[in-house]
Amino acid sequence: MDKVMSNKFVISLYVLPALLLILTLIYVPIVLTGYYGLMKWDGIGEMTFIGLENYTKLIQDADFWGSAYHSFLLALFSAVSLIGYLGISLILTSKIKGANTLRKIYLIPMLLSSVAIAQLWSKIYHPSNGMVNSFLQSIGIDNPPAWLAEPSLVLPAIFVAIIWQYAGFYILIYYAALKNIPESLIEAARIDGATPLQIAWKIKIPLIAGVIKVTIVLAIVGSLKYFDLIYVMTGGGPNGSSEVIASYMYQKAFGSYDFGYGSAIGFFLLLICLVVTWLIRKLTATKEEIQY
Amino acid sequence: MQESVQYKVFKVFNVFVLSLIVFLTLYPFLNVVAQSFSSESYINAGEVNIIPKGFNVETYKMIMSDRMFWINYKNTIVYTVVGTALSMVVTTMFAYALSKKRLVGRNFFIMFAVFTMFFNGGLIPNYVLINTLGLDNSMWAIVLPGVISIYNMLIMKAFFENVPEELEEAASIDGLGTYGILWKIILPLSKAVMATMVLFYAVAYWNSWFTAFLYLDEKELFPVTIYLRNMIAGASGSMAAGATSADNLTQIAANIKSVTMVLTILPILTIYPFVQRYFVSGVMLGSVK
Repeated sequence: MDKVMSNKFVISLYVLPALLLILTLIYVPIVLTGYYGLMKWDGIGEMTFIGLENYTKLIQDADFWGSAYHSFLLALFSAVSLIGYLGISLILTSKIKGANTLRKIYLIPMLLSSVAIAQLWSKIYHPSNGMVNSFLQSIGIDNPPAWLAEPSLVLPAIFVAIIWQYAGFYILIYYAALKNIPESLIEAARIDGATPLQIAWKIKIPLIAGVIKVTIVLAIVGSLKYFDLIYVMTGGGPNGSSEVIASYMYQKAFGSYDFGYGSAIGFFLLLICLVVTWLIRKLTATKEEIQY
Repeated sequence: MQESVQYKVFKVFNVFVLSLIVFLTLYPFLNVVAQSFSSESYINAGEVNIIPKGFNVETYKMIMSDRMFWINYKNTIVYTVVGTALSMVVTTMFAYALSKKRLVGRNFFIMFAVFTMFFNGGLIPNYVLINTLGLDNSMWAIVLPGVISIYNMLIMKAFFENVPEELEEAASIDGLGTYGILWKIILPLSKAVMATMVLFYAVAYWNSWFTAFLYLDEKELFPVTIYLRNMIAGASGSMAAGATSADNLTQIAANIKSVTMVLTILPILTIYPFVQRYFVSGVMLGSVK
């Protein structure tokens, strides 16, 4: 009998289109970034090989490290916020009436374009008629700040918008994973006298550890590369106070036409992501996978 | 089962937290809808909450009579439909092949794909690549970069792995080829995951703006997200954006922005309730691993 998926020709028809696309759209650019990073290039004219000059410049570039610090803060913040999402998902799956409806509502921000979200939050933070300041004025604070124009406040303000954007996505993942745990396990623990907190901590969380690990990597690596909401809302300003690695890279390449330096930043970012992923995997490595 | 006081307090607290999140999720959104129907003076005074004040639909009429808005809107629809269709074909075939444990090189293919979920070369080489291929200022610059999402592919693969092998073998004995099996046996059994994937891809294409921002110069090709972005940029005046009809207005009113936003996100929000019921089953089986 001709087994499904045993014919080489048929297999390649299924697999090749995707492989070719991934190769051209992701792997080729990765190699190119590494290559351009060794060049002096304005994006249009001749390339000149300058070795590691872009990287020595990068190491001394205070603006770059400023933006890297902001990206790091965002990554840390995203990772910590996962605890909140997990908590909400645990509550959602603990037989709450209408949990399903709530979950649907939480996901709505994920359906909106970053441009729309940026727009929405710029309105909320509007200095004179925004929602936040109207509220602050109504409780008696006379001079509320202009959130997105204040160097010390702009980053936290944007982080809140990013949380709003992604919370539903992580809640959905955790919710789905928690729903996958067999009810009999929970029931057995309950009969043995375990409290809801113990059940959550000793049974549910260990059982979805694999999913949690993946979300930690997704959140941290995603944050390090994060760009679009920040770019639309503030463009990295005021005065670089909301600049992150990716927006700095964009500014170098398309603002000052330094494609070589921009690529070096891009390649450096890639290396950071690789190292961070490796570290997370090391740190969260468990001896054995739990089976149920 | 009897419940302690402590447990009851805990429950009340839970309901409070969950409701607060619902409020925080929906309020900004309802506020924009209210603003889109309000008159400018009330918005500037910060008096509009969830209920429109100084009811007005003039702005809707104005935006809807802007020819460029409709050209861009039509572009968004075309990019979304073409992109989603192509994505579904490529992703389904790839996921189906990878769901077969006996596929030669299966683990390598999975690694090859999963790596790109976390790592990529960033926008500069992509920009150079698209321009070198001559795809700038064409639909393909928008469609190609988003054509395969590994996250979606993994969900789909996990779903296919759960379809009993015996079904396929029986179909094979009945004389169906691999395409027949995929088309007549697998796909009809996979409606939940297919619906989820179509929504994921369609939302991504509908919302994409950055590729358009990078690769398109002709405003006849812009998707509606760029129309919206240029409005914001035009209003804040801080960034030099590509000229749109919106730039002609020196001061872009908050009201106009709200209207554009509502019109842009309306289609997605209309479809969402019908597709979301597949979400948990779709994502659950995929629970990325």
